[in-house]
Amino acid sequence: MCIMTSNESPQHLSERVLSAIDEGGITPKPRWQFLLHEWVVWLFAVVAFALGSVATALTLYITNTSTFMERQIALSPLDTVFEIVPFIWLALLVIGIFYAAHALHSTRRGYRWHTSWLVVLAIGVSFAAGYGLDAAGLSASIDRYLLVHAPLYQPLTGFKPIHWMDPRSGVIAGTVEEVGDDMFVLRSLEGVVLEIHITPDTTIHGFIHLREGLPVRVVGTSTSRDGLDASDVGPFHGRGAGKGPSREAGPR
Amino acid sequence: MDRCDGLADEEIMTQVSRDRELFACLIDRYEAKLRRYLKRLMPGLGDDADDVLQEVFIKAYVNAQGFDPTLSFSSWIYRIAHNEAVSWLRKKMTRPNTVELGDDDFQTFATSMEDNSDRKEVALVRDEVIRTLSNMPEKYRTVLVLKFLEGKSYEEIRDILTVPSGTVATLIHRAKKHFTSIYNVHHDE
Repeated sequence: MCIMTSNESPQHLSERVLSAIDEGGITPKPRWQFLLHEWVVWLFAVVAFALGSVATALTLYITNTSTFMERQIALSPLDTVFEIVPFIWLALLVIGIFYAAHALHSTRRGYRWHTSWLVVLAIGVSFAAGYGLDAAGLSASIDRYLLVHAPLYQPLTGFKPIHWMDPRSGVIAGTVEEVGDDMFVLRSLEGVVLEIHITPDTTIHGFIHLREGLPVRVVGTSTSRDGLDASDVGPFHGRGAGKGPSREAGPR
Repeated sequence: MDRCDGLADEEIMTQVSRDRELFACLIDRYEAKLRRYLKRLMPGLGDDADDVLQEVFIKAYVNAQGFDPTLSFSSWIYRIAHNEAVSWLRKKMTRPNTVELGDDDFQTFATSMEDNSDRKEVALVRDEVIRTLSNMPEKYRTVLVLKFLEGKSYEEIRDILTVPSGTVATLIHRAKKHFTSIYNVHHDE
């Protein structure tokens, strides 16, 4: 098809386009720019997936390690939820999922997938990888590292070590120093030595075998200033085992 | 244009950055199709059609190395044309008065729509179809034009509009419903 230019000479569109390309010095964008864009988008997706996975792992870890004792301390089920659930990690999990889905949608063929499927995929990958990280023990290391090195992390994740070192409330965590008949001696995270009595009603969680050096957490009833009748004894993989006073008292 | 004989669009596209003259073949192959598409999509286009088309092909040239040869070149260039059309419409802030629909186009459209709708009892009338299409929202007019005038498949429309296949199906369904409701109002007047 011919068109008329300003000087009224017929010109094919192809000629006109090639002339415009020549006159404007237009050149194709180099391939590396497209590759770089694609790589950046995928890198963004990977970072978002990593954030989602770590957030899942930390949410699981903190919830699991807190449930045992926080339930004893909290006044109501609602309080328990607020004590146990690490909302900061939940928020980061949501952000990770959102950005992962967004990044996947921005890939070259991401538009072919409905956003809801991309969100489901992001949730699935974050949860699966998060469970893996938690099972591998990485969440405990990350949590401990952040408790020691990030000052804001402790209040943001509701870490209240005092809760785990309050025999009068019936909760204590520490290391087994000596095991006797129906009792054991515990050195708390603060270094206080307590005598823990095991009764027929005591539940031992986690199939642990009490031995010297074992980190445990105990829930029970205070019998004296330095004694406790245990109702629950479980392994302490707890938060803060390597922080502050616990560094001296704890085995880790 | 002998140099392009036997070469697929996608093959030409992979060589354009090294051999610019080959790009003229693609322009010649797609000029008429895209001009027709743009005029169906943007009835108020008029004399701006050449400028818009030129911009479409220049953008295709600039982004030649970003073209994925595993995708259809046709869908890719239609996508650029569509984006340019939407951008032009926004810039001009115009709403079309009437779409351009030749007799052949009308026959194609009417047959496809009647085969694909429940309203078979009344034959479509050309002027009313034009009026109805002109009054439809741009997103619905686009899918009807692509499906029933350009004859594009769901996959091609998906790649042109960069939406999932399911969304294409939904858009077409809603567009047909919208078309029928507006058409019936016009027809009953």
